[in-house]
Amino acid sequence: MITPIIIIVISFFLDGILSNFLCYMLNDLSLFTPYFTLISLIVIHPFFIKENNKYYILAAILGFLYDLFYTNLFLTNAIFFFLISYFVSIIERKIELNLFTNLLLLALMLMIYHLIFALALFIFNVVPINITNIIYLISHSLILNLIYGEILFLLCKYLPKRRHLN
Amino acid sequence: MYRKHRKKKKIIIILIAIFLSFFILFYSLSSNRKLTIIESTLKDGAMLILKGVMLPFTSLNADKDVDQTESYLIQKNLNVHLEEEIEQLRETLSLNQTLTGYDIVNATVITRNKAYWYQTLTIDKGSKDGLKENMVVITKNGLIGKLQKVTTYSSEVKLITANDVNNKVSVSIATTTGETTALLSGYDKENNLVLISGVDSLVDIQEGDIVTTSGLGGMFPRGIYIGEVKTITNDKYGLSKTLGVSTNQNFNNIHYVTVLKEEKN
Repeated sequence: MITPIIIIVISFFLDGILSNFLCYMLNDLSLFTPYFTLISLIVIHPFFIKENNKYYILAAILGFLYDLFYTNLFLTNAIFFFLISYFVSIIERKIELNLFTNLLLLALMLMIYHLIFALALFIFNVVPINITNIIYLISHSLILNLIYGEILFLLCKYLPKRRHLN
Repeated sequence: MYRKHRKKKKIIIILIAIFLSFFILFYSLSSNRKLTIIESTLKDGAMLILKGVMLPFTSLNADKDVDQTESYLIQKNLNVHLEEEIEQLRETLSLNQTLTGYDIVNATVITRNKAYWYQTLTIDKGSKDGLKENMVVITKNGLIGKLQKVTTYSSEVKLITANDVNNKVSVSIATTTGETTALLSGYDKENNLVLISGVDSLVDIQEGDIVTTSGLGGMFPRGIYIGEVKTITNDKYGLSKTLGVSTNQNFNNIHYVTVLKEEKN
């Protein structure tokens, strides 16, 4: 239990740090928008294979903290993260995880996350959005996050508990 | 049979969760939502933690030694030839909305809102420093936004780049034939241009015309620099123009801001 928590905490703060300072270091934020918290939540699922309820609770708490620290929203990401964790648990039951399937899973979940958000904003017309914006957002969040996801996957693979669970 | 029933139940739970999240998102984004005491306290705690985490990285910033009052002085100097006149007018007409009459509070950006759609920043000053909602936020490059939510130790700044239907700023464009007013209504992220709509097509606007706040509406004081006109496009009926205004501000890279507090006594 302690290993996934450490991964989540590091990813959570790394998320905020990179969001603020990546543009300063690379002079362009747009191609490297980090969603490390969400990525880490997806990657740590194998630690909770027989404890899905704990995983859902962790996802909801993480979403709540994410809103509190980074988005200024109220509970929205708590529900979105819960939904994503639920989808992850369903998909991981049906596929065998390796570097490639992990990559696909991460890309799919990032897309679902952005699409649900965009759909909600579209329904209530709070922010004018269009397909181009959504594609832009998804395509620009893939590079950095998929690399981070793969690194985390490899890291987790060689941790004793995860190997035992698989 | 049991499995089918269970599957149905799961789908219903997912759909309820999705719709619930939609309503909560709508509630979160509503402009007149006030923070509850619990939310405000939790947010203050979170910002203190985040400030501590960010501290080593803030020291990397090249702007850290820059005198932050510079932004206010630059904004004031844009009106320097008018300053004397304004002071006289203030005395005789009790004119309130001018740049010369504001106290300033300098603040550091703790974090940028990670959600792409609603561009906000969180700064490390709050109601303890005398900040209130709707106060104007500038940098040395001009207007960047206004305070949207204020807690004791932090505040949320809504950037002018937010394509929010509630985010309109009245602006003034200095043309060769005089001044005209319009509304700042969006942001073209790809070309880094602030968009201004509702400009009468008969008004002669040239590239390079200066855009500042107009002071209309009472929220933003008159004369805060926004940028220069770079592109001019007519609508398909030829009734109005949309202007693309280039700003000196890189909205992805804001670390220090100045809040224009209320009137000096």
